Amino acid sequence: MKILIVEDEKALQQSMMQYLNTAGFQCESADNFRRALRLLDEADYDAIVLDIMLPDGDGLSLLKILKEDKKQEGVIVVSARGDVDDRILGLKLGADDYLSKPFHMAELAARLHAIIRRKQFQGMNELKAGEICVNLERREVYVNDQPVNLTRKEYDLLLFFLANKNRVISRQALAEHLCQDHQEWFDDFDLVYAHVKNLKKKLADRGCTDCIKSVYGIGYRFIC
Amino acid sequence: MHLLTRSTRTYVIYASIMMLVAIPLCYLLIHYLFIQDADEWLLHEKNLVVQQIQQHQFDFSASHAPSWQTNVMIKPIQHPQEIRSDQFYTEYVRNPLNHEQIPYRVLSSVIPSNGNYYQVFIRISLIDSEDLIQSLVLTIAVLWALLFIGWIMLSRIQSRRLWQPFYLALKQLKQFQLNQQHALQLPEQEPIQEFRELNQTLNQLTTHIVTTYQHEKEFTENMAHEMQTPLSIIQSQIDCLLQDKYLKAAHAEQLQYIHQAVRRLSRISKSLLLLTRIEHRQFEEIADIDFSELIQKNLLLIEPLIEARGLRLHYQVHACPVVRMHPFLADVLISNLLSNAVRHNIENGDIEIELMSDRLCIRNTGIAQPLEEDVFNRYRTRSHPEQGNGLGLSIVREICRTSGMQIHYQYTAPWHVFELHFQPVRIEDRITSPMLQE
Repeated sequence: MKILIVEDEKALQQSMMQYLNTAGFQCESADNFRRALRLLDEADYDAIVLDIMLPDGDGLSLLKILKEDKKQEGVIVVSARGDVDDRILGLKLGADDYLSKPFHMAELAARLHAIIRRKQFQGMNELKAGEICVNLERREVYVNDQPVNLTRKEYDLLLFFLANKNRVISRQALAEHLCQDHQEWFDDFDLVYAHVKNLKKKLADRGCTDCIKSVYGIGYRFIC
Repeated sequence: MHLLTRSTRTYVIYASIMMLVAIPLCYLLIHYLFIQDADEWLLHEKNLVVQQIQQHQFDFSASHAPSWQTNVMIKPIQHPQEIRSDQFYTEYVRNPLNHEQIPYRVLSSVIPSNGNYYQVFIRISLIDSEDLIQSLVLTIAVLWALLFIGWIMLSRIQSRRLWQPFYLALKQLKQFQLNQQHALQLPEQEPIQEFRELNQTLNQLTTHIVTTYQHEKEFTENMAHEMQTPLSIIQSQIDCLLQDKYLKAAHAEQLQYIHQAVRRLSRISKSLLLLTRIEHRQFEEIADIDFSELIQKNLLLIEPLIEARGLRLHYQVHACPVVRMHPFLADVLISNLLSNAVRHNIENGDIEIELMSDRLCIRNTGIAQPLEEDVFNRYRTRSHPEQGNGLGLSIVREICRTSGMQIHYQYTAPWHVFELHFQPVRIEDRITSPMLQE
């Protein structure tokens, strides 16, 4: 999976590259509008991470150009302006998703996976990890071919883990993923414990080996 | 007290005192003039009588038994102790017909004639003049009163016209709202200098306030936005560091602390930004929000937490009200209230949610004492700063304020009660919004 990262902050760009590369993506990066255009001309990408505030041009105009050229890349807009209006504008212009800074690398990886899955839906409607199999179309989960009845939140959580296999995921990242816009819950790790506990229990009930390991003091790691 | 009332009051007091003093004075003066007049007439009559007596033309037979046959009474007297000069006095005589006291002005005089002395009384009735004085004074009083009333009314009308620019400025000042971001635009061409200056000053002052407010708003927004990029750099570096397999547990723990601090910083700035934006009424869009649906959606998220903390949730829906407001704000409002009820609860406590047609009542158990006075205040001191950033309830209040709702807090042991009053939208008036469908 090829990703283009358009971000002018060097440090942020590098850590995104580092995280995504080890998470199974192939990343290239551009730190300005012109370079991004050139790279997009030269190669095809599965997805683009686009900062809308660039030194030599608005990321949103890059988005417009992409959409006019009928490019198939999925686009995640990244912005320091977490306004609702900005988000709506980005989505209106054809972005597939929106992330406001600061975001977790695990969240970015999960969103990229989701976008790429949506873009190339055919042949990708099943996710497998060890004994776990997820039918993305029907939103059903099987362990050793036995269905597991998950709530929507537990299902989301499982997909999040699957997108960040073998990575250490912090509790904050999980909390924010679970609560989305409800930031008053972000500090509440009990909420994360409760949801993860339920998920683990339901998987274990179907005889799944314990693949969600807690990492002391930090969070969890999905092992497979 | 109104300005006009105040200025008129002085006049009214002055006029009343004047009336009280002037009308008796007027009466006394006219009365005095009439008496003078009567006395002059009596002297004139006396002279006639004296003339008649001295020329022996006076017919004494008619006054042998001295009485008031006419208005003249003559009594012969033997030995006058002293010949007194003319004496004037007023006496009242009862009218036998209608028992009225009739005032008379009487002149008593002793007249010598051929060695005899005669006591002469001449009188004149004052009844007509009394009546006249009374009518006169009454007329004057009425005229005076009319004059005063007219004067006061005229001055009121004129004052009102004169103060018109002042009242206009006052009215506009009352309607002045910072978040509308319009300075006052009072006419600066007033003919009266003071009002011209007042308007100019007010215009300048409000322009200054609006600009300052605007700057403050921009500062908050820029601050909140500019902070996010450096924070996201720290954040992403931590995320990468956490993946390092050589990372020691102790270091991981320290990283966690940094991580949490970064998130908190980010959230505080976002919350402040949200507050500022709500205060500036930047959430214009409205939609009809089904509160029962919204609560259900939020409960879905926190149910495992309620379970994990052993809280008992009683959710009663008596009605399904629909409220017109910004969808995002509605979400923030409900989730803040629910979060508050869960977060400040005790182990194995209770939460009661009651949704009625025009209000939402959320009760939770918690510390066994009421929360401090101004629970919705932004910068109240908090006993547990780790539980949220303390802005949640201020955001709730701000949302209520801009969305036309009321929120009340009270403590009735063991319940901390938050009651949200809203104006439900009638079924026939409902609209649907694209945001909702999304």
